[in-house]
Amino acid sequence: MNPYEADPEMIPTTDLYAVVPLDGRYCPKPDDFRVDLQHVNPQATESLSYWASVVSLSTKEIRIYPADEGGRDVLALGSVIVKVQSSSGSQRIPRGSSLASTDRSIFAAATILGAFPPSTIEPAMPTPASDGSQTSSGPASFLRIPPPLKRLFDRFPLTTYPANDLPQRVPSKRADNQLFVFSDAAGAQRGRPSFNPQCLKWQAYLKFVGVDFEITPSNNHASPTGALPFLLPAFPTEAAVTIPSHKLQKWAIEQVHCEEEQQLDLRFDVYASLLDHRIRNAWLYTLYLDDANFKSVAQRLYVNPSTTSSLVRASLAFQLQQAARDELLKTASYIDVAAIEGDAQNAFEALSTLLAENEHFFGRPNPGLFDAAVFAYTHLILDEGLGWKHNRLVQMLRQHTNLVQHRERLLKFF
Amino acid sequence: MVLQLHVWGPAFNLPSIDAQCLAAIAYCSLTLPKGSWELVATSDPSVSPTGELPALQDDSTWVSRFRNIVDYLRQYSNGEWDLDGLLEGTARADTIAFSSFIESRGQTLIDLSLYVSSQNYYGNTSPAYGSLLQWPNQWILPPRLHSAAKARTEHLGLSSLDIQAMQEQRQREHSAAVAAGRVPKNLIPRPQDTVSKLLGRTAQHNHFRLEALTGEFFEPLEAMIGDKSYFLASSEDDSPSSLDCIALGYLSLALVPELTFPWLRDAMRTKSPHLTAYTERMRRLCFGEQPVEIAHAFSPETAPSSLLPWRAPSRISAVAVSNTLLDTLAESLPLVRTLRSHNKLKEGAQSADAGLSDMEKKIVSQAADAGKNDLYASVATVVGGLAALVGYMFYIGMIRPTGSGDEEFVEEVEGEEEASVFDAGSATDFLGAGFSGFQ
Repeated sequence: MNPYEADPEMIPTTDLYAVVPLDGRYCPKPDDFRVDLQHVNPQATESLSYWASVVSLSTKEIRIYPADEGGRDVLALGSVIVKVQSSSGSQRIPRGSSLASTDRSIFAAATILGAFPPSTIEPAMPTPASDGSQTSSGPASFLRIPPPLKRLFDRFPLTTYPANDLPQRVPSKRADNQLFVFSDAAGAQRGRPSFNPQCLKWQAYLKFVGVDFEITPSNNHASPTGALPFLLPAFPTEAAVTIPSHKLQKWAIEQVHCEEEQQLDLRFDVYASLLDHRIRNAWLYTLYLDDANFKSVAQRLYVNPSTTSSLVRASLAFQLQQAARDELLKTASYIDVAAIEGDAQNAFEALSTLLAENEHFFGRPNPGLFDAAVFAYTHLILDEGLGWKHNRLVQMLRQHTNLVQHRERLLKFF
Repeated sequence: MVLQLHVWGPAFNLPSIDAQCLAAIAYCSLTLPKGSWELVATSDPSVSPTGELPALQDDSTWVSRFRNIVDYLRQYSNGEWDLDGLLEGTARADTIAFSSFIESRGQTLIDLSLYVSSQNYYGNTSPAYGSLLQWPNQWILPPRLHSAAKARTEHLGLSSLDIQAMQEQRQREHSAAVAAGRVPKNLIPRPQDTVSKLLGRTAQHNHFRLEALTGEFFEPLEAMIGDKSYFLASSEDDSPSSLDCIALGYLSLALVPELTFPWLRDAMRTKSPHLTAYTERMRRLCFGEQPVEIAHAFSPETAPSSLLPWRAPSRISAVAVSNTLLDTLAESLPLVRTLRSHNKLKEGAQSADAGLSDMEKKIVSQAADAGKNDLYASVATVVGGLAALVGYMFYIGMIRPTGSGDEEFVEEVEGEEEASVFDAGSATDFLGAGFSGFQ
């Protein structure tokens, strides 16, 4: 049995809707009633008599469902659905239409009685098929735009504006690689170190290996990966390819053919974990969770430049502190300040031992990635200009003079 | 007073299920003379005031975390119980750096292997917790540890090891398709994923990532251990250091457990044969020749002898059980949780041993009180707003106190009575039929 059988003759008696063979289905036949298009918008008496004959066709046999109180009968008249105001007399008045099949056209025959002017007759609008699916016809008709609304929207002037120009501060011709970091405008112009350790690490590394680049102040929302830094290379100019921070080293190696330092010493990754965990945790605590420092350093650098509204500032500051707290609580069930500081102290001691009397880490003639990573933290911790209020890390770091000298040597690059 | 080391209980033939606890056990078994300490498989972090395990109890003093325990033991024994006392220069720096490396990278790999890989979590880790925890902790703690491990490894993008996360993702995509195409929900095919199918699809991607992660972890360690018997040994008769204890803690959890999906153990065996041999040797030295059974921890009198000085944990009291249940309940209610955190802050500040000055005490207490007042104010605002809304709705007549509702209720009750009478009748019929059948 075909569940989509539409021919009223073929519908089996077991069909759930066998009593209403015309409801929701339509099987085109050559002798179906079709609207004679020349009588649409009728002017002549001839047309009026045509519509009167249409009315006489509307009989009980083709009724899909009867009108309830004050409603309208719905009839399937060949390819057309007719809605009839169920009046007390025998005369039925077709009053506009709706439709349930692609093949059926809508027409309004209300004008035959002169009730409405001919201009109200609307052209047909095809709607999606809902054959065979009794349940989905409900929501589908509900989602259709009601005609008055549609008329309103049709009249609504839709204008497409041309795309906005790029902001003025974007250089029209990029000559240089652009490194996007946390920075302020003045510092970026003079190429000063960024105030974010992650950004400063890559800024320093690119400087050390001799890649030319310009600094652009930015924030996390500008980055395709959601984290700074990232680099917009000068070549190729036409393709807007950005390089996120974890691919910067590979890119730099391709550009200037420097060494991949991780391969040279097995201790590289091991000692790097000191920076990535112990010193970073101490940094997070000192900068974000120590309230005095947060107000005078982090709030000034990260929160205040983004907005002047005090409400938004308060919420941003809260989010920053919460993020730092969550990060620290990932590895421990509570924040143990003494343990964090003890770990940082040990880490500085280990780094100092690793550097020993060498100019740079691992005895290399030129500074490299590891030097950049260490410098990113030591410089910011020792930088008086940031306005630290309460900095235990400085006291720890000052005990290791070779790390302090290392930072001063590298600061000459800036 | 005998020192007591409280740890997570034994699992996978190891004396503990947690790497830090294993490291602490190894350190104590190497340094402390027999009889001066006891090992208690408490498996409940709430016994320690710090809320963490491993915790070392010396009468009323509690010390938690591996490094703090090492420091405490050194001070306690005036430098006698100390494995790192003789280390100098590079060796000392290496201890610090390698410890940090093993803790950070090793924890990630163990999280991935024991918790994030769904097969291993549901097949091995979760049952192991079930057998070592007491009611009601066995229902409360494992999900908490599971989600913590997931949060720690989120940034690696290996959630495809986690079938649950995959299914959520799939469901989101599914509902997005429904919304976009307005296709009837029941018409979209929804494949039932089996474990092997899921892993088959993402295996290659996972394989590369896991290969890189395990390589980064095992290669430096393998190069460091070489043919030596300990990490920092320079001659034959050298002794182990605290680094060896940390390494044993993490490496034994990677090597020993029999898991459904043993990628970590396979990687360790193929990439670092020396490290594998070293871990086996250290395990025998610190934890004894015999694999550790649950029975060792909970009934040490009857179990076969063990190298470790087990002591059965005290039975969990009814008060402790109800406290745990109340705590869990309160923590999951949004308002009560905030209130409790403020109260706790104030209590902590005013207790004598917090080590705060009077000024600080006052400030913290004030902050806690202000937080509490804020909370009450916002609750009052919401309640007041709701009351005003309901009052307004009464006023304009959107809600009307009517009597018709009562009538309906009566009708419903009557209908139910009829139904029950009918049921009783049919039951009698049935019984009657049964009896007639017997006759």
